[in-house]
Amino acid sequence: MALKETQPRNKKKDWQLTQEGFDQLLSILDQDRERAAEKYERLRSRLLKLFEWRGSPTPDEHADETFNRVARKIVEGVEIRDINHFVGGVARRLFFEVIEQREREQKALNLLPEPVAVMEINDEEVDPRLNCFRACLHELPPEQRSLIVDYYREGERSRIEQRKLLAKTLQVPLNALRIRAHRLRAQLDACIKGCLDK
Amino acid sequence: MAENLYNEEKLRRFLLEDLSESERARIEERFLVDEDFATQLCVVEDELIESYLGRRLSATDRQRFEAAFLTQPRRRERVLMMKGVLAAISAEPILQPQRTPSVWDSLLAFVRFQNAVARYAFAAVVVFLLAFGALLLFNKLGPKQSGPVAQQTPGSIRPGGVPSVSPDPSLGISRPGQSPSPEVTPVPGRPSPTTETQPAAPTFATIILRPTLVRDPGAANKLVVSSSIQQVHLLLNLDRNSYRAYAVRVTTVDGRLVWQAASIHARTTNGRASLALSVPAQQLATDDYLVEVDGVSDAGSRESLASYFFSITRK
Repeated sequence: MALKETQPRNKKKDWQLTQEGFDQLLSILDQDRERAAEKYERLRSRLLKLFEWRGSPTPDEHADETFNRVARKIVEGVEIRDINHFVGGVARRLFFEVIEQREREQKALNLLPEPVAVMEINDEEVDPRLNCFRACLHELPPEQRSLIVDYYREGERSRIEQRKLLAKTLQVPLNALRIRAHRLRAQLDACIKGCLDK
Repeated sequence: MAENLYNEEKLRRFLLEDLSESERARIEERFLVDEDFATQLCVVEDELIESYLGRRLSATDRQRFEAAFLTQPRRRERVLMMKGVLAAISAEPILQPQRTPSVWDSLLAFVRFQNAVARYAFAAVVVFLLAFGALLLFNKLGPKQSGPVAQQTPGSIRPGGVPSVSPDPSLGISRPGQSPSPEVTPVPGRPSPTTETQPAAPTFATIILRPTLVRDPGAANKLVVSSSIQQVHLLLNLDRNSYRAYAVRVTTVDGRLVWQAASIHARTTNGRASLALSVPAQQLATDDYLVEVDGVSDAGSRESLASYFFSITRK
């Protein structure tokens, strides 16, 4: 990525994302606005994941802040060759800033590091929501429901053997089956979240 | 040398936060720019969660997983969702695997009436033979005969939804409730020839149902209910009888509750378990219906077992 600063920097605190800045960001993602919006959403969902994996308590805020900073750079005239790499770099810098800030605060307050609280998963958290899980499962078209049930159901064979057999039956490579099951599960998750929100 | 970033063990190490900072950075960067790689990493994450829930992780990895996933609300939610999906799937009834039947299988199915065409064909042949036999009998006995009139069956339905059979009036056979044949004339001064009393109109109808996941209007068991029917008997076949009692709900497919029972005991006939319900016919308008059966444990908890579909047409 090439960084070429042509304008003096504004103070980071004072900068607000404007419509113009957002439009310029989208136009770098793609000339077609609809495709640009889709790419933006995909990139944002991956940023969310990255921040989650890095232990961020507020991945949404950090993802948005990442895009704010990227848009600012664009408005300032920074030349960006590869937007995805650039976004990744900004995200990593943000993440380390957050860690440093947290450590400074803890040090200043003479605090021990926060204990890691592992909250185990128990059945009582899942049972009340089973109706939503079942309802969404039954909303899937029969072929898709059958696939996901056969994919995840515990059987006499080992999980890998069962899935190899399923892939052979469906005449698809095993990895294609894994991806298909993952996408169906993501679809289920979206339905379940909608059901639970009601 | 290009590193194979599709090394799934490395991706699992990444998710368990068990890689060096530089390796993590490379995977993160690749995740952002490579769509296929991003999908693969998400698939590996799903399977890691599944392995944790299935207790297939080593003790060390289990600790790492809990520290990475269960301390973060969003990742924890992801684990909860997977657990719920697995619980819902494990409650689904097991369907026999589909396979292409051989010629011999098809022939056996035809003879055993497992094929719908065979059932309808057999039913049609039986109806024809009965009607023909009745006609012969009537003609042989003549108008002075005062034998019993043909009785309509009480409206029982064979598996597969074959509609109840009514004798064809054009063959000269009386239907229940109708006046006897005009050719029967009592002789004056003599006692009227004894005739059997006309059978009463049927008051109940029975339909046998098998569990299904799919609501397919073309395949649903259909029942035609006349105005004389007072009770509709539903006979629900169970794959197994492993509960003390069963809770049953009958609803329209739109969700309106029609009938329910909190505790019904299964009966076993010829090694086959089933539940017998009796629903007042007045509660079953022309519509499609769903029957949901839950197993009730000794502790009173319920487990969803099976669903059945049927269709009612009122006459």
